[in-house]
Amino acid sequence: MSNAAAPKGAAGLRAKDVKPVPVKGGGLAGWVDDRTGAAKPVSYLLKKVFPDHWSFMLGEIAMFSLIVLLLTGTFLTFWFVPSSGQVIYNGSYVPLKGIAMSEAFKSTVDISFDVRGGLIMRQIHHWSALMFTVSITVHMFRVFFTGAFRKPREINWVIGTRLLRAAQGHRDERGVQVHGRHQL
Amino acid sequence: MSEAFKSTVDISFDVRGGLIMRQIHHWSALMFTVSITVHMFRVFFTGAFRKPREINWVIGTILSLLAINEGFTGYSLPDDLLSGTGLRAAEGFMQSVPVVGSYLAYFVFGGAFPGEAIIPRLYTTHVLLLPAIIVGLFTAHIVLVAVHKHTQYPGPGKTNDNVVGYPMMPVYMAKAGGFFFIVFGITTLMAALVTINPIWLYGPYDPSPVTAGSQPDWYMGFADGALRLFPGFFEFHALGFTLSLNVFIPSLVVMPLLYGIAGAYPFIESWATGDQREHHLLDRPRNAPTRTGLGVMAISFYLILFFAAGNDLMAIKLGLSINDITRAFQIMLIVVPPLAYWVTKRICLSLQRHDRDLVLHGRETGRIVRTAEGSFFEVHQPLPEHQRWALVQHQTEKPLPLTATVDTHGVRRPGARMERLRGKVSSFYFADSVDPVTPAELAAAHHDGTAHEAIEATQDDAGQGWVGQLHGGADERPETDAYAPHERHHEHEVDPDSTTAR
Repeated sequence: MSNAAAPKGAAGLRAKDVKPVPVKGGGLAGWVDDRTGAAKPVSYLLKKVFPDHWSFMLGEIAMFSLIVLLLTGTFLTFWFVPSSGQVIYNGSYVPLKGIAMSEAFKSTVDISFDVRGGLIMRQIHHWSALMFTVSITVHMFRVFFTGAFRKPREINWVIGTRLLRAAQGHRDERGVQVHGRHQL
Repeated sequence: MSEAFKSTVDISFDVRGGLIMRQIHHWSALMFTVSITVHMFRVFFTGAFRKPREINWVIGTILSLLAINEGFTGYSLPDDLLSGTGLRAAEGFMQSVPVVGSYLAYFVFGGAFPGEAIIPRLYTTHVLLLPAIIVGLFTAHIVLVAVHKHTQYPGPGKTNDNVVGYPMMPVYMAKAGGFFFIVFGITTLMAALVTINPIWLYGPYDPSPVTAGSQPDWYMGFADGALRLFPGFFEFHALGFTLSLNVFIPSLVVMPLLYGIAGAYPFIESWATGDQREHHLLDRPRNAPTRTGLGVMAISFYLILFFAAGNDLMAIKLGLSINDITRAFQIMLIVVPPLAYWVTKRICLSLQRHDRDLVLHGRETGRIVRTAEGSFFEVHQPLPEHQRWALVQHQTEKPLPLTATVDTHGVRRPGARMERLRGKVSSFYFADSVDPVTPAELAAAHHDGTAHEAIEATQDDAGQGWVGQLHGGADERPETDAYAPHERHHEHEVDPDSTTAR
């Protein structure tokens, strides 16, 4: 960049201010790129190359299970009552009528029998929790036996083992820290 | 009482540190919404929303809207008498939605009001859904600030192409880190000293008692005020339905409408200016008189709605009729905003002319000098260059030219009507813009160049030499219009872009 022709002082500073910005093409995409510079990273992402092998789907199953868990779990929070306060059940499931139980249990029975779509949400939530932990485990086997944990991926291996620990230690419907076997 | 209320009382009196946490939480919710609002003012009045930052402005308005709704869901959770009254009002708003209102209210509350479903649902919304969206959008907000780089106020050496400031490490890290602790500390101090939302005094919610003088947290005040000011004759009965537009419009339409206008503003202004450039240098609010006027107009509108939410308290405390107060607010809501716009714009134009005066004629020193002939004048001292730059660096927009509606054959041109509208809006914005002093004008104002030195040097040629020094003095200006000669020079004789003196 040569400054030889540029005006000096205030005029020079102002000359830069009025410099017209080159308008990029591309309609809406160009408009957004003008304001975010997103074209480069987006094009980098879109052109990213993935090697193809069936065993790489294990991690994907884990990720997609997590998304399903978040969606159905959010639905369940709207009806689940995290309380061990004692109440008498009086819902539509006859065998339990008149029985004293915690609000946590009662609300779970309510989700199962009285909330529209509640049972399928609970079932999807629980099944995807099992899918999640299974796929994490098998994904770990794949990573281990293929040596995918070697430099530069040691940190990601450690993060993965912590993730498995956290996934197993999820809280159950009574809000108690449990391991998978003890879940309702 | 409900478990929600009981647990909030327990947090206040039986959980160690519970009350101070509740108080810090509520006070910081207020700090959050106040600082968002004032931050929005800053961004608006300095024009920081202009290209390339329009998206971030829109994200900001959404964040502001989410923040006040997060606040509302939060203060509804304790299920005390005050918040329950607020929820009852919210149920009424939902019921006012034409046709589907009652179904909507039943859906949200899980049956008839109040039911037992609403508090857990608000809880999920408050601790999970809204925070997730807010944190996500806030991250985008900050990332965009980094992508765009920060705007800067105009000053010597600051251009549209550079950023002048301190490095993150160590200066800004220390400043921002320290500022976090200052904000946290002041919030904690307030929380420790000033009671907020003493729900144990209000008692548990019970739909039967009606609390007089119920007030929402401040950020919901404008919506409450809109509800109180909206005339009742907007309620209609048609085809067996009751359309409570008198409730529906102020409670459920006004808020998204106001936020929608705010979000759309950058696009309206850039359409009116036709300006496609990027702006990284901020405007001084006076240098964008129409925008500043519109902003103050919006603030005055908002404030009148806000104060109208206290019409019952004013009536009680002042011993006035609530109907009179409401009517006065209704009239003010229509009259005050345009007035605020006009006054603000005139003040901005006056401040701009004052800036021109300062640049052309310098600072009044207070030193009165008597010439040999016996006339008096006050010595004016030229501004130092660094101070002058801040007053002359900006550019004024000009109204877009009005285009012909027909072509040379007398046929209407397509799009001509839109162009004329655009020209009119542009003229509304910039017809009376005041230009900053150009180098040519500055040179013209000091056309006798060395007079300053001449005056210092010798008294002999005073008759000639005084002229330069007399700028701003009684000898030079017509009494009626102190600035007229220079305005005329500018409009008819001097090319504003010329850098050479005549």
